[in-house]
Amino acid sequence: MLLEVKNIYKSFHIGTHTVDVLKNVSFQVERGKICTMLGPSGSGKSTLLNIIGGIEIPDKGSFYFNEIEISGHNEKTLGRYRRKRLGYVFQSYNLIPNLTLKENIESGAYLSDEPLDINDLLYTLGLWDRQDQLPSQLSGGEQQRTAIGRAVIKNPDLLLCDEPTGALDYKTSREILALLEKVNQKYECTMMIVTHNEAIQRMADQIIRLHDGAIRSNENNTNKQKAAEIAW
Amino acid sequence: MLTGNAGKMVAVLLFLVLSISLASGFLVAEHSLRIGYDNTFEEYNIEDGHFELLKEMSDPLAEALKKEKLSIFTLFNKDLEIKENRVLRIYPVREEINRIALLEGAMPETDEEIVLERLFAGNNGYEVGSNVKLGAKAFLVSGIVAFSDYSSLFKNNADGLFDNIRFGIAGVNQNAFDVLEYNDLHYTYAWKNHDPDLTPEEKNDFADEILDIAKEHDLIKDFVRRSDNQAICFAGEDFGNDRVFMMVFFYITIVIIAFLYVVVMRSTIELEAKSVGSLRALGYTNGELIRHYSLLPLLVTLMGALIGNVLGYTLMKDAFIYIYTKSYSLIPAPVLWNAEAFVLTTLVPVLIILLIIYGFLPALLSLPIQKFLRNDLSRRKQKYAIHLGKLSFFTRFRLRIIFQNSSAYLVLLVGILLGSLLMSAGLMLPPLLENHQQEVLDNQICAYQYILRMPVETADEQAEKFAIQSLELGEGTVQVLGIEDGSKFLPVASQGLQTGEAIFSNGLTSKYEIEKGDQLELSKKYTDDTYSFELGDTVYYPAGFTIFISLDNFRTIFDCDDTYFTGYFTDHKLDDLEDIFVASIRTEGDLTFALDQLMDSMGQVFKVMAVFSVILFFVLIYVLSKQVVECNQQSIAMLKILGYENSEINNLYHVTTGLTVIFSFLLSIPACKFILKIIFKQIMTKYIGWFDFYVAPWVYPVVVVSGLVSYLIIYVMQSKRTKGISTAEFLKEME
Ligand SMILES: Nc1ncnc2c1ncn2[C@@H]1O[C@H](COP(=O)(O)OP(=O)(O)O)[C@@H](O)[C@H]1O
Ligand SMILES: [Mg+2]
Repeated sequence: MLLEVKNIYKSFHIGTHTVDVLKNVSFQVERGKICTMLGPSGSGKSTLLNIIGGIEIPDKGSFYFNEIEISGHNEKTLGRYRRKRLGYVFQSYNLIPNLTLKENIESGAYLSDEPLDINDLLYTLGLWDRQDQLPSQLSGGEQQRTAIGRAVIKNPDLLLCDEPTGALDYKTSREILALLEKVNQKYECTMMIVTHNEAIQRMADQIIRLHDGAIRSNENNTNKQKAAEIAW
Repeated sequence: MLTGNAGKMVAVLLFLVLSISLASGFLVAEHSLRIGYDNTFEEYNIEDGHFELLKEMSDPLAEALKKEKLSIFTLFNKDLEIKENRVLRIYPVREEINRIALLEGAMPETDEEIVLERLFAGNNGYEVGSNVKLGAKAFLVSGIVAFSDYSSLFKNNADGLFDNIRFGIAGVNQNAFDVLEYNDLHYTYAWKNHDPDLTPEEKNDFADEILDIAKEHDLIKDFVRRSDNQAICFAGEDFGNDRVFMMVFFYITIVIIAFLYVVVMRSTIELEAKSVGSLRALGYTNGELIRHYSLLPLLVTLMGALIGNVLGYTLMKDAFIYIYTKSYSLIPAPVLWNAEAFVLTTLVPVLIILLIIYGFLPALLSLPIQKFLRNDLSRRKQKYAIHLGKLSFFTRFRLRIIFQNSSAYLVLLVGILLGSLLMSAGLMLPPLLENHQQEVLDNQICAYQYILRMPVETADEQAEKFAIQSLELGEGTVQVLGIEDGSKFLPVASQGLQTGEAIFSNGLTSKYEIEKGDQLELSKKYTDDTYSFELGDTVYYPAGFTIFISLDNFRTIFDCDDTYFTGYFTDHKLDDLEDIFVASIRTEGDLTFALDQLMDSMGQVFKVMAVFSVILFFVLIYVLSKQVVECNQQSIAMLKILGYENSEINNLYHVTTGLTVIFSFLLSIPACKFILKIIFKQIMTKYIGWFDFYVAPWVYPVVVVSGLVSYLIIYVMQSKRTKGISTAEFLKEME
């Protein structure tokens, strides 16, 4: 098991008001699989992903990465965990605006002792021709591909994607999904894709549904489709 | 805009307040002192001149003067050494001419009371209630005063500089004066013209007439016109001497502040690009946005101007007046509202800032809406980023940070240049003066220079005769020194003098850029006589502008008889000369003491300059490094999410600023050397004397170290700040 999440609770306090965002969430993800997490807006998906990413600290509960407990460690250890194990992709691409496309990917490579070959990756991402451009000169899809490249180049064990297609149009979204599938196959990297797009679940190995901070269902996809076949 | 920029704006505000208050304090102090000083002439009925006779005025002279359109006042005074090296000049309290201003206590009522001039009293620990012993008689200090005819304490009008430590003025009742012991009694008479509206030329001619009449009847020891009287005029000439440089530095500072605003506004607009785009899309006009973004700088500037003026008129004015009153014995003057100071230190700087702000803002906001919405505010249309080749990733990253913040770093560079300039100027002058002092001592002609009232012989064989004549060159004075052939006191200068050559001191040739063979024309004060000297050679003689010629040559040129001489060079005192024949003795102490005084009066200004520049470094580095972090806040958060450690982030962002700071200093030191040399030369051409340009070896290292220490402090502050940038918050804001 690559990831094991056990009885996670998380609430936020805004003034005197308390929002219970996650209520006793538990699940597991196997190595090499694509896992999608679905749920309406505000159901706690991002919060859960950020806990797994070591950015948020759960109030209660724990999670294990490669059988090692991660939760409860200090920021420095969490930073090292992110650095060595994780890749992160967001809805807004969050590239470093003053670095070129290639340099943005290099900022990920720098963190790894054994990064993937950057030129090979640039080809895979379809960004070879644009490698010397600045983020502001790229389209949304190109920026997101760069962000994926930055996350993938360090050959992470787990790639966390929070609404990776949320800001993209239909056609570009499908391209990004195809890219993620390719990355999953080529580099055997486990993925957790958070989305509210019901169609995306069809390319996943595992589908988790979150509702109001609790897991409503967690099942394996018996009818996995190729990304190229998915339409909505 | 306020929240994100509060810290930076507070720093800018403080700096603005400091600059404006310094400048306005300086101008207000100078103006008030000047007006006050100018008014004393009438208010305190200051003399038009005075002369000193060998004894009391004869009746024929008194009769002759009565026919002239003037009033004569007796101003007898006695010099008395009250302690080792402390000479007090005592006058009977006078009520008509050169009146006395009481600063503290009361004027003498009994014959046992005395009033002391403020500076001498302060420097020697006397206050109201103290006792002073004049010879055998003890006096009680009843008051502290300022003498209107001694704003600078020159003991002799021929002295190079005033001395308010070893020389003081006092007033006692006439009865007390009459019986007072003394070392020297001066039969001084002052005159005042009946017509106050004479032109300077008429006054001068009139003085000549008086001199002729006096010479005709009596023996004259001294004759001083008011315009020649250093004790009266020196202070007036010193006020506002540094004004031009002060104002130039002030305006450069203001321009730097204005560009700080531009840099801050620019990054604010970049950070808020998307909302600017949306507002524009919603129909907000450019004008409305300009008003929005200029509001804060405008408020800060106006606040800075207001607080700066308040402080300028109070604290800073007092500080500057303190500096002046440390050197000069001034009569207190009321603070005057000074419209010119307000215009120069408030209106003009505010206008400069507004001009620069409103010059740049429209350009920053005038890009097409899509550019804002896409967060792409780079003006450059180029499709590719600058190619950086095979440098390491970190190096390229740092270079990109420098490109991204080039305007901020440029302001930093200019600011550091200015700060270094100010600071090295402040630091270099004291050692320069010390160096000069040492050089003067090392190159002095002899231990004692006797100036005689009339040529008298000494039996002392090592003493050597010389003749001296002061001539005018523009504003300055040049001493022409006639020395004996083969002089042992001036071996270098005496060579070649037989041929009638003139040898110039190096200061003279440097200042007036005289080359071998050039003629220098000098004039005798109050006459039409001119004298021309051809430069034969230059000799290193730092004590003053001097032309050395042979004594024989001197006698010919100045039309003296064959045995004429002015005095003696000697290495020890000449005991066989009677005091009455000796006009003055210049010693080693006189040379260096003058410079000590100069240091003492200017030392405060140097300190102010050095402190001001450290503050300038600090504010600049603080605002700009904060700026760099803030406009990269999102990138820093993202790097953290990627797993970058704080030390790596510091390495990228703060070290880059640090490298720029170091680079700026490396660049500014040679620039400083160059500019200081030019400025110094400029000052020296205006100054009456000459100092050789000398920067003590520690000056530049101190400048660099103080800048780097400022940087390190800010580095610690800023790295705490980047450490505090929260990834969770960043993700929340992203949604
Ligand atoms: N840092 C936070 N502070 C306060 N409330 C938060 C914070 N993060 C998330 N929330 C709240 O938690 C709930 C779930 O948020 P989120 O995990 O982002 O949901 P989703 O990603 O499914 O839309 C929302 O109501 C949100 O307002
Ligand atoms: Mg979300």
